[in-house]
Amino acid sequence: MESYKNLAEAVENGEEEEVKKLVQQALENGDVALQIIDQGLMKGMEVVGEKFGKGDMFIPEVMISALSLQSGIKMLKPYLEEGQRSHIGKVVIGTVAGDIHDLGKNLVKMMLTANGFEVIDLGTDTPVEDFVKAVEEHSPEVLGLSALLTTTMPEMNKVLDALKEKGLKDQVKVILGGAPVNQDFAQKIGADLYAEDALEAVKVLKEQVN
Amino acid sequence: MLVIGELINASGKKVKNAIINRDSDFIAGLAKKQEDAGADYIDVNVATGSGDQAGEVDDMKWAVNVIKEAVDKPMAIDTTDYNSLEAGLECCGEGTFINSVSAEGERLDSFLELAKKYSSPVVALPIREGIPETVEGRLEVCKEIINRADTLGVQRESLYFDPLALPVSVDSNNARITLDTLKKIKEYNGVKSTIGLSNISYGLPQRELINSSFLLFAMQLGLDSAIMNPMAKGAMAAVKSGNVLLGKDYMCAGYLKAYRAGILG
Repeated sequence: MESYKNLAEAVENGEEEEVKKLVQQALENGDVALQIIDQGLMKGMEVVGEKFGKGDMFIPEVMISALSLQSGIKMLKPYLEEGQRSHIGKVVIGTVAGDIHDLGKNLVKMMLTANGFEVIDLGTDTPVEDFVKAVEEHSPEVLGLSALLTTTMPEMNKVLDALKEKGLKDQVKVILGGAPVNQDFAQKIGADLYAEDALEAVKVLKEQVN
Repeated sequence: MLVIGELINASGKKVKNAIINRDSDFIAGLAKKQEDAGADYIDVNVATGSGDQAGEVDDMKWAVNVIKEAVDKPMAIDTTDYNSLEAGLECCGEGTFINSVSAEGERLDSFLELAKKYSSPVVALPIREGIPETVEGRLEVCKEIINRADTLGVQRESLYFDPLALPVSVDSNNARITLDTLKKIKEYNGVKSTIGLSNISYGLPQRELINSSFLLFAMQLGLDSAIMNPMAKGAMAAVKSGNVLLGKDYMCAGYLKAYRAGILG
């Protein structure tokens, strides 16, 4: 439909006011909220993700698109019916204790948001117990751990141990990322998943929730 | 303006594999290329993440010995691990850069003790429970580090504060905050400055343009050194031309030497 195409384009171009206007129009038109999200907002964001992957769009542009998308979703949330979700999966993400690197983590967060995930960001220097608490509180499908230092990688181990101890390990998939981390390490400490970069993280997590 | 060549860093795949496979030709070659491009120090980061702490110490010893053989330049030991740092300093001797200290955790005092022992210049990051967002927040941490250094008897001249360049792609104010922080750091008696350069342009196309422009702004504020890719000709040309224009290159000798060496672009 023409109006959804315009909405998708407005998201792609990061025109927040235009997005709000078009969402409002669609609502007044009697359109179903979930349809507006899926066929309008998310379609636009998909294009953004693709273009970013190809190097045709850049971080500031993706951020503005993601903000526009979020404004649209915020307007539509009250209209979603019970059981309908405005996202395709929920991810809790954070950089482990003792580590304040957040560039990579923020990029992953941005790309996941851009691809329809709800992301709860615990920030940097996150204590083990905060990860556990967030898993209990939000029941995410996935927990993402980031570490950029060899000296903080053992913290990932501690988070996994704490999840096992609390009996939460089977309820959430754990994915690791960060420059010094690799597939072998992830396997060795019993994490479920590993991604080399933000685009791979999106791919891997989409497979998980589908 | 001192250039600390950043290319021997295990966060890059090729370097990581070279360290794991003990490929001394690759590491020596990378050190030599940076020396030829005009680096004053060769940074060494061996954090491959594949070994344990003991493995990292061995990796550090191996790498610094390979680099020592290959070039005439001093090194910068780039690690957060005390034992790796000590091993690196022991192999390289006095005047070796320490990269880096911050006000997080327990590291500050023990690293500063080593700085004193080896008369090392030290990269000092104004980080404590994360990176302070404001100029004032960063300066407060700088002061804390200066106080610790004073107490432990470390010379102020050996502290190279990094005002922390964060990507402008994420927040357009980031370069402004970094430059304002640098300006204030330069007002502290005796201390020096450095900057991890390439972060500023993360996420943007034509990064070299942003890096070299930013470097010139920072140099005008009196930047003493930069941790950067010396083989990036744009940034290196900014260093050389900046030195000329700021009156730091007597009779343009450094500029002309760089021209003849073919490293201006």
